[in-house]
Amino acid sequence: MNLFNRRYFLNLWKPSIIILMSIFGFLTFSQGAEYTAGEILERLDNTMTAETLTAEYRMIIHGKRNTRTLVSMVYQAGSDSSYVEYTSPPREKGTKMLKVGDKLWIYSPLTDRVLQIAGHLMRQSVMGSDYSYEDMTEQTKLTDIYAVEIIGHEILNGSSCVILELNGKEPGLAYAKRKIWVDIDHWLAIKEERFAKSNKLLKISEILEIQQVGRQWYPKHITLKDANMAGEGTEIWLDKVVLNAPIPRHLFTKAALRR
Amino acid sequence: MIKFILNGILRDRSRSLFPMITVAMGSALTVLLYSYMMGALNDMVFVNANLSTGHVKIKSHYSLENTASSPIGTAMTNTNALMNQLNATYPQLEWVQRLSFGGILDFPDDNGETKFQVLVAGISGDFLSDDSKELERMKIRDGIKTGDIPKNNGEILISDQLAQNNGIKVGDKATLISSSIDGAMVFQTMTIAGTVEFGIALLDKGGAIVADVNDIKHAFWMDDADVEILGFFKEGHYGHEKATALKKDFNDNNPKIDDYGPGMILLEDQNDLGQMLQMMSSASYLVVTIFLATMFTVLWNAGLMNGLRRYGEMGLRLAIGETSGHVYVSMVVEALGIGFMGSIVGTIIGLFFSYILQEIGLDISNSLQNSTVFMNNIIRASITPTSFYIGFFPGLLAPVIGALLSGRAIYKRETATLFKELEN
Repeated sequence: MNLFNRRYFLNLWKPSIIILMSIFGFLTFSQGAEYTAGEILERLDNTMTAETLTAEYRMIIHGKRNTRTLVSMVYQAGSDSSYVEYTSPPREKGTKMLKVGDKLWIYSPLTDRVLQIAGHLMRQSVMGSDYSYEDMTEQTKLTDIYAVEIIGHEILNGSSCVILELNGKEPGLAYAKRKIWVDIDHWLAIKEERFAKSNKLLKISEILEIQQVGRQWYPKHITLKDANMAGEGTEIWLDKVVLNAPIPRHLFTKAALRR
Repeated sequence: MIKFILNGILRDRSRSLFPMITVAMGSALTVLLYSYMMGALNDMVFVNANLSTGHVKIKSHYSLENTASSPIGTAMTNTNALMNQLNATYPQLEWVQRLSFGGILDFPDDNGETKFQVLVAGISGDFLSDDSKELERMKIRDGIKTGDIPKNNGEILISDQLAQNNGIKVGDKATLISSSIDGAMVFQTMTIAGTVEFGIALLDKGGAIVADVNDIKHAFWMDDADVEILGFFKEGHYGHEKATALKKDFNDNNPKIDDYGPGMILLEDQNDLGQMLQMMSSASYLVVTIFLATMFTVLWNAGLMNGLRRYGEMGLRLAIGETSGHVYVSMVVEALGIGFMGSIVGTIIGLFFSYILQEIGLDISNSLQNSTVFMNNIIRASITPTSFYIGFFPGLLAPVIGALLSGRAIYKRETATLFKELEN
């Protein structure tokens, strides 16, 4: 009898593998169980809200008619201020967006005007993508606006996840309910479903690839699909991410938009 | 006998006046109602065709199959070649590109930053080409209140009400914020060339802007794309048969290859206009039926009353040897005479009031405040050849039917008792 016969080997080790996997799973989930839902959400908030963030990102929009790629630079300070400048393609080059607090302005080089984006315009698509201006500028900590509870555990794409359900504390939120799969090894929301008040699924986002930036893990490749749009979704590649590097304050002023 | 009856009608007013007034009123109302209905329906079809539907319309298959979806996102592509093909293949129609859009008009302060924003609904057509008839077709030239029609690229008109409500002046600049064909937000700064009043509540009550279609297409990244191409028969009026044949020919020659290929629909396939056209064709039947039913009931009743009043006369005529049939026929001929005269008088009166309504019209703007259809604020009657006879024949027929029914009583008179009755 060949001890290394594949079938024999598997038959012998199958129970052990199952036991080991169970122990591993138990240990992993018990790691999640160490935290309350509020603590998990807070750690998630902390991961995604660095003191400052500078990144170059590519947005690939898979529309119903065509696929377009936009490149932009993002500068973000805390959860309050952000500045985005599109560098490619030529049609969008020079378009800039500034968010300070709950106000958003956009500069269009074609019109040489600084326009305030408010009200229902915030729900418009950004450059035809599945992201709305609300999505792009959302920096409020989730812990501030959502009540959270743990509704399950799951292994997703090889990562052990705690599933959180978030219900809005206040009316008028873009998404009244969210379901988030938090990868507790890297403290990232690797999958998220966003719902309307009526429980209708509005958007699904997934982190397909992550990267280490300094000491922490950060998304590298994200997809977002608007359930109400005809296209195939939008991808974002965060190519050059720098965390906690100084950003000049004047970048977060309206004057910077016209420069 | 005719002379005898005519003398009777003219000399004995109590015998003829009431039925004649009834017939005249009925005929006049029929003419007026018919002319008004035709005017209103004609106007609605005309306004919708000129502003929205064309005589035929070409849209993408995606748009035809999903009317609820965003129109700009459903635009056809490669439409410059399509326009050339349409002009070469169907020269009997004038083909025009149109684009309706929604957006926000952003007015700047002295620093060029947002001062205020207003929601707008826009319509666009070819207003800058020398040979374009769009300004007349969309009644824009006639509706100018201040300023002038756009003469250069980048000039727009806004509704007079919008200008007044927000203190906007001719020469002001504003930036249109809207969506491109790809769904991205687009911005285009434009100059207010003038203000316009369409006389259509749907456009006047809200913030409407009018811009050149090529300006808008360029701003929306649609230089070789169109949401709608409208076709108007050069002879000026819509015909169901020729439009249907055209639709079949176009759709057979342009089968669906992808979602954004062109498909043709007719005027009557849009905005419930098919139903309106059907109503127009059945309007005359409807009016005549109502008229006949009412008139002959009234005149039958009048005939019966008349029979009672002229009970003695009928009895005498029968007593001196006139046959029942002769008396009956003379009653019917008399009714025919009354109908003839009443109808002529009624038709003249009806045409007179219809003419007034055609020239002055009826302002219904108050009832159109929440309207969602293109309809003129002033509805005018329309005198058509049918108006001249629509009230005449029913007016002639109604008293005859009335007389035929009420006159049957003549046959029930007993000759044997006639003299006895006359003695009383």
